[in-house]
Amino acid sequence: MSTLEVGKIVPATGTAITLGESGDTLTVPSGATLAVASGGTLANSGTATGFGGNNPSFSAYAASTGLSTATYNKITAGTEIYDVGGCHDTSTGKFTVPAGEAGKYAVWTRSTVSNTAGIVVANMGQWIYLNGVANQKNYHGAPANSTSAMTQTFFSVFDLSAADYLEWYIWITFSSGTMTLDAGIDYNSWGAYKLAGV
Amino acid sequence: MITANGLIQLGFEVTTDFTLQNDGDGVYIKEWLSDKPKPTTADIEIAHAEWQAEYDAEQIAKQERLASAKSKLEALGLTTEEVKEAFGI
Repeated sequence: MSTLEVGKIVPATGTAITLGESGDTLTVPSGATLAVASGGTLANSGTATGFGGNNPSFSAYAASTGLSTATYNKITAGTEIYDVGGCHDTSTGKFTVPAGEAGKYAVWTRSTVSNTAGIVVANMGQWIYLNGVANQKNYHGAPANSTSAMTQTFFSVFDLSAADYLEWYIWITFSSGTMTLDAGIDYNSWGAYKLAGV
Repeated sequence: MITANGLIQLGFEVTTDFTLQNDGDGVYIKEWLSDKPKPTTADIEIAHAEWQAEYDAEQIAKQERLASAKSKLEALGLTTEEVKEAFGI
């Protein structure tokens, strides 16, 4: 194998240069950097792999969960739809930022709750706890004398460090009896994914 | 069992005097903010039973008032369907 030692490669004619031929692999060795200078463009018209995308990411849903009135009720999503990066624990219900994955994360929840006949719901909220402390919420009062099933969603972006963890809680206030987070993917889920490029 | 309704029955207010949390192993008092002493679980359970009895009695009385109103309307000549459509009872 011969070595080509030059400081600059420019086209003999025109403005385009092709490196290699179909089937070849061009390698940037370990310790080397392929740099795109300010004002330059790296344009992709083919397939780009290994750039991470919006990962780590996960989505999971919970079984039927009884809710106590005027209480922060922890929701543990015991079944995962996907978990890229092993960031979600189905036993503790925690999403934990893996080592080296600090950044901005989009987080959502979706909850349908229902009740036994005659219960009046005063208010309901989705709460995300950060490292064990209530951090962000979506909270609203329910329609007066609301006695039927209802669905609430939450979406927000968190700026997280490695080892930070999030938990999903539901706050709800109702008159008496039993309120329940309905079971399964048709009625509840939560998840998170890392935002690429920000 | 600790309940918000039991604590409210004792005269305390949600979020002003206390917050409750359930991490999956039952409800507990996460924050006690009142200047008054924190009641025992037994005190809260007794108060909850009192609240539940009052609430149940109120619901029964409400149903009786509705039934009475329906009966009086029907005595005036309205049909069951007309009462239901006009008053929802």
